[in-house]
Amino acid sequence: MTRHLLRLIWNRKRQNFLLTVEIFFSFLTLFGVVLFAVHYTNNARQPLGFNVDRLWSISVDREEPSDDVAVKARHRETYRQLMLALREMPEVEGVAGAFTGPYANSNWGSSTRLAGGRNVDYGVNSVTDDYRELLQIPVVAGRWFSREDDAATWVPVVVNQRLAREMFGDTNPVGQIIKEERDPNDPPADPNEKAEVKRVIGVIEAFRQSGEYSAAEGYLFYRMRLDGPDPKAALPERLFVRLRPGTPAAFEETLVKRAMAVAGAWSFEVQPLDTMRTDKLRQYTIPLAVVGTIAAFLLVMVGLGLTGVVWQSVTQRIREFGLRRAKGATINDVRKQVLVEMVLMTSIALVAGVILVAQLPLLPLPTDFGSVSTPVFLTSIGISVAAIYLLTLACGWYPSRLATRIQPAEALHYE
Amino acid sequence: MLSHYLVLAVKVLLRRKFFTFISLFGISFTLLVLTVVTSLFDHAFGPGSIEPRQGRTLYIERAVMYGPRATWSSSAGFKLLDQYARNLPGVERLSIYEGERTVHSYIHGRKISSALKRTDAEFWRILEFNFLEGRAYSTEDVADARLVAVINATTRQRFFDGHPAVGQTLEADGQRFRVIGVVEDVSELRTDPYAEIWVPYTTSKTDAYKAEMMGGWHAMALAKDRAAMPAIHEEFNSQLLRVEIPDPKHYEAIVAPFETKFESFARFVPTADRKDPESQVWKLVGLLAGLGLLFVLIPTVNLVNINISRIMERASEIGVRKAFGAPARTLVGQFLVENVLLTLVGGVIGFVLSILVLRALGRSGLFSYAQFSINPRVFAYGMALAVLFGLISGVYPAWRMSRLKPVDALKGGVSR
Amino acid sequence: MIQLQRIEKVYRTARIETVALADVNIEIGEGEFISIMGPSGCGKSTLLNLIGLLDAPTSGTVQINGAPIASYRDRALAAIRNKEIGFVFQVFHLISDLSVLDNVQIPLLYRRMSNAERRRLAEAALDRVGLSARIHHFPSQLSGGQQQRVAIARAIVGRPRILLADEPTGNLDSQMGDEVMGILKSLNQEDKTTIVMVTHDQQKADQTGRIVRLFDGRQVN
Repeated sequence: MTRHLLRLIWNRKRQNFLLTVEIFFSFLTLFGVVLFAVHYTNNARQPLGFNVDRLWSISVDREEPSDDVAVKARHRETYRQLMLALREMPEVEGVAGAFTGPYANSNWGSSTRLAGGRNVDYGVNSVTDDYRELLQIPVVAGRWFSREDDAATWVPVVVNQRLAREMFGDTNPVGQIIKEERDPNDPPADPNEKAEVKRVIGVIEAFRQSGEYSAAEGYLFYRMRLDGPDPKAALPERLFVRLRPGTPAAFEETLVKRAMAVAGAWSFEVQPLDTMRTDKLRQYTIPLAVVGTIAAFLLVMVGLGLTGVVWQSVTQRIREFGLRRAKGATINDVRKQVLVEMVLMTSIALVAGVILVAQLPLLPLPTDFGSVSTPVFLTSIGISVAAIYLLTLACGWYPSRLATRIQPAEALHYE
Repeated sequence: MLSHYLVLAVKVLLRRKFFTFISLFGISFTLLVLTVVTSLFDHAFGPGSIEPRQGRTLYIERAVMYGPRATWSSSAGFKLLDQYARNLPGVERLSIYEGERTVHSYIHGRKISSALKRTDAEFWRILEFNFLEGRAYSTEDVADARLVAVINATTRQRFFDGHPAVGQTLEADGQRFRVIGVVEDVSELRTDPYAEIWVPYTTSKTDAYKAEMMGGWHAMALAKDRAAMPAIHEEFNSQLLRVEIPDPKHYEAIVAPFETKFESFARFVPTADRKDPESQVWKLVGLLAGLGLLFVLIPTVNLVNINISRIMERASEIGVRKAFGAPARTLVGQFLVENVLLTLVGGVIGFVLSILVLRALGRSGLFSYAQFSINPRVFAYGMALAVLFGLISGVYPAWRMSRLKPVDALKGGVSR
Repeated sequence: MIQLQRIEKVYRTARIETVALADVNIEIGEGEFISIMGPSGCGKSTLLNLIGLLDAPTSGTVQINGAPIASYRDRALAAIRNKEIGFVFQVFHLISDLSVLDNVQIPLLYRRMSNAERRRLAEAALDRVGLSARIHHFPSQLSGGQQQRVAIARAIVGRPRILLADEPTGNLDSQMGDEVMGILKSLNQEDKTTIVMVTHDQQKADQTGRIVRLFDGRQVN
């Protein structure tokens, strides 16, 4: 029986080829959407590494480049006064300065070439000592920046667990020095510049700056000082404030007026981190929703198309079915034939699709894509394969019922 | 003959309602997506009422300063534009303006956020804003750094409850401006004219911008005619070779292409060589065409499959026609007429749907002040796409049909 | 008028070859009315299809009016089918979406002439088969006999010199069958149309001028 069915399908290869192609592309489309959906869902279950309740971000535009050491000193002083003034306000629980922060659209990335020539990419931020407490970042080993580091002869850094594992493997990262290897392709280093030694003083659980849906990445904090001896030290681009519970949104005006009173020539943009979070998450969900809607319509279209094609081919084959039934084939045999044909076509399309998709991890792709983990990848393949089988079987089922409802005698005369 | 085909096509389509529905569903949905995308592009890059002369306008939107180990890519600085982009041959007018920034005002404890853009006076001569009240600021206003502002209708609504605003003042970013003009809202997608409040650039809080080579500034040049555009591009490139690099230790050159809006949009296509000043337009067009093809792939294969089914279902009709002397070519023509008719109907449905979708998109507030409309240009594109789609999806099935032997067709189309 | 020489027709699938016709030689003169007889599956319909240029023989030559058609392309074949040959099928093969008048006009669509002329010829052909009153009906509104008369009108509307009928009475009761036979005979006698009819009905075959018998794809004499 099976061989007979296979031969029948083979004889119809021309008709079935295009259907297989269609199923193949439907699988690819569905897989693309499912992969991102599963990836985001999986990311959302990982630790975030910070808490933004009642947190406001103030981005500062100094309206003047501070490359000049004298200007920079003036700006640094303004910052000190600004933070002092804000901290004194009764509604404010705490203030910290940073280059960037959670849900911000500015990112700072870096790459280190470790001994052995292995490159590690990670996100970077430069923050003041209050940043950890303000964002409630859990420290899992060592400690956070503090006054203890003032006299350090090295550059203290705090890394997250992922980066610690990438750089030091199973060794205890606390106290380790990040050994960088020079890239032989780089031009020779400036002999006047003294190479900085980075030493890990603490490890935090995680830090996913772009929020819930972003993939886990390595992260490294530098210490930012507003009272240090280095005249070239970087200045904050943003301030973060945590408000006391119950502070109304209208407090923003008071806050900005107070800031303006200290730094009249600067511009400030205040945004609650809640709002920034919503905006940032939308950057993930909106494209997925748009593509997902289009993909859903495409699949409905494919489903209807398959139903139509199977329907037509069934009515065309009714005579043949009728003959078989007249010769004693049961209703189930006939139904089986349609479904087996569908399963076989779908399987061929899916095997080709899965083989193609399995090449993806081997291709050089953007890092965010590269961070898709193997279980996520396999789950997505599983979901997509199941959904496509479901779709094609549903499209084969109805016409096959139609085929078996027709009486043999009627079928023989069908013209 | 054609009328015979049309009548028959309509009858066939009405008889097989399910197939017709599937086909129309696929066609109209595909064209809906294509039309919406085309319309978004047209909205952002086509000539609009504010930028009627966009065809001969060039922009400097980005600058890249690079050295052996460092690349700094941002908008150009004021000094770069002011010193090197002025007095280029072939330029009728040149405007220099800052990218808009969000500023906040507080009225009675209520926060109003607005997009504020600092511009020169030429800005108002190159662009054709529709003034509801008052006037634009003049060269003198800019020269004297007068604190005057032009606002859009929505800002007038927010600050003054829609009452006439000329002569009133408003505070934004800690500065108090006197309103001298009110214009109609401008879509956020028209990035160069867009803002909610426009003020003279000389009202900036500090003069620091005047010394910057890299910064947040843009330039827009109205060429005398289209033919002058390549020369302007070239001339500015050669001017840039003379630029004094601010940080020669790390950087050696600045690249800032003077180009059309679409060319500058194409810069967002990732490229291996970030300092390459060559146009990326063909890469972008290729990318868009590739994505478009990928998108129409499934609907096309789907429609081809349905079309084959429709043909096989009518195999006996085809057999009869062949038996009575219809040449294959004529039958193929008949089928293509039918298919193009179907896609045109689908196109019209898709069109109506895309008007609804665009209207909803305009109302959604995803893009500020964007009112998408389908103009004759987009309509023409859409219909051309529909016919193309109809032909592509009809040709293969028609070829299969033409190869069908009359005997097989009469038996019901079982092709071997 | 029609010459078939050493005709062979073989159907091939991946594993089996079926010989439908072998070494068939027939010559049909102008104005003849012949019938082809034989048990079902003997190749009668295949033979008729070869004469009607609906199918090509595996080997051998088919000549219509002395011209071998083996080398003809689709367009030339279509022209011969259109001008020289008319078909009547057992299952009528009327297009259900078209009215009687439109169905009859089909062969004329592939000729250069005005719509008015097409209509006039179609009405004349329908008059000939006695259906002038039904020209605006649809096939589904007609009885089997009437449908077959419409099919005959369609076959003769282009005034072909050859009429090929594949069991024209096979789906009709005897009274309707006689009517159809009557029309065919008058076409042969009055218009001198050459008619080739496939049938398994001895009584109908006896009404024709000559009988060709086939058994298992071979001529039996």
